Amino acid sequence: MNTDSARDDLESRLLAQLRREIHDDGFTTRVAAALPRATRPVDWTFPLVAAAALAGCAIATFVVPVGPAILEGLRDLAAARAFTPAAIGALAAMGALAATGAVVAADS
Amino acid sequence: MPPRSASTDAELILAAAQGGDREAFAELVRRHQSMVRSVLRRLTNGDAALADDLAQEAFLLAWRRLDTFRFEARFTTWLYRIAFNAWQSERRKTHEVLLGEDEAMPEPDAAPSGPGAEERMDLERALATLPDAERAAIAACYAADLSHVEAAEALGIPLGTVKTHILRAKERLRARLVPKKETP
Repeated sequence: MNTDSARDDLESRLLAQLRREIHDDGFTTRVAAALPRATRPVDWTFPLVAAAALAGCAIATFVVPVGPAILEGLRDLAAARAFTPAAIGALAAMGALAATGAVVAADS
Repeated sequence: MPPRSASTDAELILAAAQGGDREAFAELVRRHQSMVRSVLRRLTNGDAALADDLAQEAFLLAWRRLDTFRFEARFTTWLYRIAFNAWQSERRKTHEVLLGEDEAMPEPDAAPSGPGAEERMDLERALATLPDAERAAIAACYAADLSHVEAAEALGIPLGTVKTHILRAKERLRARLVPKKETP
């Protein structure tokens, strides 16, 4: 019994002594004043992936030999004729590429 | 915006780590300063000034490394590890810190002798007589409220070693705190 009570006494004394609240007394203020200004690196991932996707859209639109339909659609769009089959096709192709780029960028 | 004191630790950590929110971090310091300073006072054998210097150093390091906190462990475990490392670095300037079981330890019943030997020692003084490894384990489990598993992770030693340190530390403390009585 004596051993048990000594054990309980030690546990309670350890808990009381070591968990005793230490008053702040300006400690937090001192730490906050000493905090260095955050110099966190800029995350270029999203801008880079988004720019690459846009460049891919442009290359696909102007360079890939997909026939005259895309160019014709662009001409129609430039002439404010948005509802011709060629213009709708061009818009759909660019939209699909842009959506793909956005998804890749968001995932990254 | 809700008051900082109403935010959870996780919300404050995210605000400080992702947005560089100094107020959020100050609230984290306010919440955990007592634990960190208490741990360091135990580790520094009651040297409150040194403990507070190390606590400030630990919190500044935590601020710089906050974006590496992955929520895989409790924030207190992560903080304890940083505080312990700060103390260990300081300690290494003058002493070698041994945490393994091979550390040469005094016998548990090596109570001080002399005229005042039979008097009950103050717990602070008794804790100060413990070897570094045992004091670190006691501080982790009692002051920082870590489980044995968390203490093992924070101290970088096996779970069995933590249990041994706690057991031996308690034996030493009992030997120092409870006066031995002669049995008839």
